[in-house]
Amino acid sequence: MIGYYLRIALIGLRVNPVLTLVIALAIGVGIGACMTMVTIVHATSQDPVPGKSSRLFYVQMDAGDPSNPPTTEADLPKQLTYMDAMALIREAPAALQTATAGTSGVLEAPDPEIRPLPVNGRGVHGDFFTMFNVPFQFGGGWTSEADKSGELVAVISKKQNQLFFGGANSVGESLRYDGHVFRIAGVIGDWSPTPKFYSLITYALGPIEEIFHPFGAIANLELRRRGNTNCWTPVDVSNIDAFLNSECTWVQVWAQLDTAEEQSNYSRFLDDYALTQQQMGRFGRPINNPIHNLTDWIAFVEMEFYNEGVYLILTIAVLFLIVCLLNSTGLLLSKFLSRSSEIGLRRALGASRPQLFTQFLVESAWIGVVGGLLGLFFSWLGLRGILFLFSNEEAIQLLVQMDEQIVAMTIGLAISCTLLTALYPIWRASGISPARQITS
Amino acid sequence: MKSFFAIGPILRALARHKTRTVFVVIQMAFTLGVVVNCFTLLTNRVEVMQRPTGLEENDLFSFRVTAINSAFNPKTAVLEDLDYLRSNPGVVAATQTNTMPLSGSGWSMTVSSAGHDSDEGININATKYMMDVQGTDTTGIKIVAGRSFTREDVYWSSENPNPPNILISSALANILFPDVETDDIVGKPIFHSDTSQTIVGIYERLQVPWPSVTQNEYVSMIVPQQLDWTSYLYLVRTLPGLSEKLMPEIEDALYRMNSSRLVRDMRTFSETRDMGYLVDNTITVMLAVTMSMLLVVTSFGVAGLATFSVRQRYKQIGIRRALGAERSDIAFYFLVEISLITAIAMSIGTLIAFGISVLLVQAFEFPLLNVFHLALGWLGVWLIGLLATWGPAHKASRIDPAIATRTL
Repeated sequence: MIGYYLRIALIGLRVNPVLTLVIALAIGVGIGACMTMVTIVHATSQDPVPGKSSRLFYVQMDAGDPSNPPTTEADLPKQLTYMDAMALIREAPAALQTATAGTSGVLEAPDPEIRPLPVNGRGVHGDFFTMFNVPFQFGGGWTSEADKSGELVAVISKKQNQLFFGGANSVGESLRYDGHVFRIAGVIGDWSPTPKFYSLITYALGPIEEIFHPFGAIANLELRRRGNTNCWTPVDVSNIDAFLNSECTWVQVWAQLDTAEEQSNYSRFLDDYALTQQQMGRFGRPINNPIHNLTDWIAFVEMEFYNEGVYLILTIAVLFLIVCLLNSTGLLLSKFLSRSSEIGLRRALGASRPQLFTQFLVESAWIGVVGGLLGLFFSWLGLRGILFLFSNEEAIQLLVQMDEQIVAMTIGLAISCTLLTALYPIWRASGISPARQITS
Repeated sequence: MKSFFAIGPILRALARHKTRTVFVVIQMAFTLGVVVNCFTLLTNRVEVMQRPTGLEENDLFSFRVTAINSAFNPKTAVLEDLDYLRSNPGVVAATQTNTMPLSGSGWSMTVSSAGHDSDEGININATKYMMDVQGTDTTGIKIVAGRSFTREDVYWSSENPNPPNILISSALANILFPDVETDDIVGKPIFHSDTSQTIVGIYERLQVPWPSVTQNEYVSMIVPQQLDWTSYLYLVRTLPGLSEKLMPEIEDALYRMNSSRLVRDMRTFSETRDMGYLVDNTITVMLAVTMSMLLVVTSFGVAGLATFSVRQRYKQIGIRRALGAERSDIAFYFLVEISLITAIAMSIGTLIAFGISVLLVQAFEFPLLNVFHLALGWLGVWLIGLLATWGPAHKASRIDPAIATRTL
């Protein structure tokens, strides 16, 4: 019976192929526009550290300007001062913690034939790699002993390893960063977090840094920093000691807190620390030290920082889809109603209303499938178009990938939208009384 | 009797085919709503992208110098480089700088018109540009009061990060000293926490480095510094038309002069501008594409329904022709019909357009749509309706009067 309906539906479609194609196109274009935007938003909302995102916490402490109090949560300083970050690393009760800040410098390979390359770096503690489940192709990270001793050890990206060592196992080799010699402890495997959740508020989109080095090296070697620095008191940033002891915020701190008890202990530690600092004349604002887990932090930052263009275009795309669907309904109406004589004839021959209803539903489903395939094509086209407008930037390439979920969603959305819009036309068409069609 | 504008019969005919009419009206109304809003957003984006930076943007290029290793001596390198650049016959002026408008990254700090202990000062966050003695000549900004820098004003950044004499933009001047004549603002001090600097000159405008800032985007100041950092920018102004030729020459010469540093990201200012507005440009293109596709899709929808409408009235048309109607009467009938539908749709569509616009204003703080855009939208949708109906109307006018005599 199902086969019969499927066959008859295909015949129905062939009655007026142009009209059918136009309907499928209208749906395809609308779905394509929507899914282009959905793909981009989807690419940036993947669970960053599956299984752990709720246990990794971003630490904020409000040590800001007391004469300029915050009015909303968004006004709280998004980073910490060097002094506070180091105090947390030393004393806060967490199994694993890391401070992090971006650096930039020139990497030189051991092979003098290879040209030196200006790169982005990131200072982290050894716990970083464990906390964020960073996959390694060769070797691994370093231990907290290395952090404490100031050893110059580094982890490089797969791409950098390819450039400098031809992709071979370079563990144990050394390279120069900003003129200082670092020994390679590990090479990262395939890892393209989008966005770079560990540094959401600075350079979140784009490929990972080429070199990860100990956080201590930033101060010890006076590496060039890359990121946001906010100082509410004047300080000479070129005097390293003055800078490290200032109220300038430029460090991000993450802690892994597995149980609710650990989380409340940590929060209590933060508040006690702030109290002690207040007694020494710092932390002039009311004590406020929120900790957000990774999932919440991403949601919070996204609302503030994401180029509103994305949400805007998504809204426009949905409205566009609505118009396309309205058009489809109208076109489906003319398609079905133009077969009134055929419908009347079949009803006169004994077809029941539900039977006709089902047949037209199947026809619409077919249109939905074609519309979905066209939608896939149009959204692929749209994503390529966006990539082109951004001149193939690496960061954007990661955003415009369509995975299986997106493909399934496209087809599913197309079929369900088509069925929805077809309901009224089908209801009208299957209700045509045979008598009026037979006469004349 | 000509029946061009016999609206009555047309309306009655529409009323008899309510469903079809309602569909076209809704389609056109929604299309108007979305198209007008797209257009408003598009023009807003274009406005944002066309803001002047304050720089003389032609014949201007920039590049970054980054130290490779500790052999790099900033002070000697900077003086050598500037010497080389400024002695080049094609170069009008060259300056060191920390950043540029539309580059995406920069410095800002809170400044005040009164000292730390005074309650009366006005505070505002201002962008800090650091340039040397040829800063104003290279950028091409206009001094509207006071003077520009002299050699004596410029200090090495490591020796004095708070030079006594600075320049500020007229936007910053007006905010800090709202009721004072521009010429009288020259000579006043400007405070940052406990330090103060003297305003020796005011320039017309210089935009902040962040393209997405649309409030107070001309609040900036220029501090006279020679930067002895390990990474900084040079800004170079050439004689008209010479940039393209000089850029590779200069890059090569600088690279050969000093191997302890990298010269990179050499680009004209118009390239910097394009990069800075990349996202806005993309959004503009996407809005334009969406608008066009919307109109195309709607025209298909209207054409489809018009075809259907014609087919439904084969006999009626045949009868009218047999009774003496001209071909043009028939075609006109359908065009008038679509125009009436358009009129009804526009009134509903206007409500939809405002509805969407209000939502956008609340959610994204975009500007509300204006009447000019609305009028353009009406015109556009009406034209689409006419164009889409033209084909079926023409076919209808060719219907043979003999149809009237047939029964099927």
